[in-house]
Amino acid sequence: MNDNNLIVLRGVSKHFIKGKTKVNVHENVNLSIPEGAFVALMGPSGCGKTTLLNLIGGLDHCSAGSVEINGQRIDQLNDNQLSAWRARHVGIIFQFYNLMPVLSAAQNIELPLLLTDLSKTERREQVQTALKIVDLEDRADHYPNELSGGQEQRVAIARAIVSDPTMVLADEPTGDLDRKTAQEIMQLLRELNQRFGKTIVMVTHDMQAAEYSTHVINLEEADLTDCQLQREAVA
Amino acid sequence: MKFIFLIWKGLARKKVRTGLTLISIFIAFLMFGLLSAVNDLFSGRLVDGNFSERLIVRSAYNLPLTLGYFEKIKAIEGVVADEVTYFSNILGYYQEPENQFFQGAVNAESFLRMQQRYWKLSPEQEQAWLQDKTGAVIGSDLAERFGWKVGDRIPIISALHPRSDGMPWEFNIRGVLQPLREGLQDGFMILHFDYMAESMNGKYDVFFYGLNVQDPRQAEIVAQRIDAEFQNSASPTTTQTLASLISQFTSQGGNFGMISSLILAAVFFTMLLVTGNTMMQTFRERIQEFAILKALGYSSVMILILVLAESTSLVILGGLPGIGLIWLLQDTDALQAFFTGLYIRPAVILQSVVIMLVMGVLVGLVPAVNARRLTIVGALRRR
Repeated sequence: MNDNNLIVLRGVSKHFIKGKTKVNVHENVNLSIPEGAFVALMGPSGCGKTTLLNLIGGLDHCSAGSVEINGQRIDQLNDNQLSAWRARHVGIIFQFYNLMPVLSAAQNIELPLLLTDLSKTERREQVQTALKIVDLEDRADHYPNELSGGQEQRVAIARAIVSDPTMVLADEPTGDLDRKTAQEIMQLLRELNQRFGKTIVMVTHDMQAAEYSTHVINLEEADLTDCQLQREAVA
Repeated sequence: MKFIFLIWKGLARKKVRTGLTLISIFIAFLMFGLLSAVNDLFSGRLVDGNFSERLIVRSAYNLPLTLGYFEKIKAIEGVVADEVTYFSNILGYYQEPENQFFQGAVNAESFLRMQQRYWKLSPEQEQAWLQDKTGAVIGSDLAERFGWKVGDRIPIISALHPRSDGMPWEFNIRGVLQPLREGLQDGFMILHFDYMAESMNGKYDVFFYGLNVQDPRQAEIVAQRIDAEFQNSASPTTTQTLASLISQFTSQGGNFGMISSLILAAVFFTMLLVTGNTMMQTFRERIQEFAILKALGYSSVMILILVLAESTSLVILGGLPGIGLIWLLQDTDALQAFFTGLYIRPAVILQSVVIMLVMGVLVGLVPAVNARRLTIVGALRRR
């Protein structure tokens, strides 16, 4: 496998138990994603896109195999270690933004920074930088119910990048937005990928959204038992 | 410290619900402070720490005692001979029947010696009182209650011991006793026994004797010696420590300690349910938020601590003003009129804070453990 691979899954399986039935979502997945890639995971509902994203982000444990991020086996970490790892390495964007309604935009963005040793001034500076990147400096003190859907998603993106994580995971980031706003969000994600070099893994149903990525994996068609994404495709 | 705003924002999420919960906690701790203080007052606990050397000698059959006991008591082994005095009471009131307080008629010299560890009287005031047979000294609580000061002439009406001309008794305030320790109850007036006896043509008996023992640890033994001395007299005595006497008087009106404990248990149990319900509702509404925090890197232990900190803050925010208010009100006329000598001991404040912390943890425990156990994927799927 390529040494520049940021994300490496080896022989990963994931199954759920529903009642007395064992449901295999993934079986023997071997996937590698190079650093700096912008990957779109596509496929019909129930094919395991979000499950794969959760395994990569350390939000869920695999049933078998190994998940290696930047050379570190995260499947061997315990709950506390995994939390600390996520805080340092993962920024997450959800379909429904998932902002805290009682916190202002700036306070929502600051949440990951509270886990760091940064001073209040340093945290404020980083929040301002993140707000500037998502072009919402004038909305810092607004609460989620005072923002449009697109603005809420921008705040969520700012929250995902404020701690300068190794990778950004996005689960249907445009799923709840109109076409025009969705395009703005996708342009912003592409900018994060191209200008700031962030590795992004995105789950989407939307072909137009997938066009912004450097790699597309259609889980229904791709052979995940041996899926090595090439670095050359990264711009 | 940097997480305080998160806790505060969590509490302020549903303002009405939080406000109502805070009010219930406020009332619970207000009642706790009041009932604890009243219980202390009635149980004699306020005097227990002080006056450990003080014995009270009463008639075993509620008969009057005579002055003949005075010298005999002074001679008993273990008694501080110079610190024995006799008390009587005119059971009067000031202006209105509800303005009742203790008026003790004593042997002035021995009274002053007996009380010198607890109250201070300036030498000038002491001399003025000793020289004025219609003089009185009053406790600082009583002075504050009615706004009396040295030089005032106070009329006291007594149905049990009326003056021979039918007019109210009148006493000149010659001194105000200043307490030397915290929590001393001094809503009383002290008069000259000799003057009272003389005014009633000698028909004025001793109600009880008060004395100090040399060694408080020997108080019970000295009490037995005193009672043995008068066992075969016309009026046998019963001698007790001051604390046990007060406790005995109180229990005649029912076991106030148990009643107040039951009331407090009911209040706190209700508070536990109300606050626990608030915290559970809060938890259910915020399952996804806890999952998001976990996704952002907050550990399960951190989430547990945040929920417990929120529940504890809720109880403290409601409880501290409650106990604080009753502490501020303890010296007011309104409360002192009902419970003369009411005093909130520092230990009661400390107990309240401990209860707040324990309650805070208890009401937050179930939601905190549930929040800790949440799996990110499972919680986010609940939308």
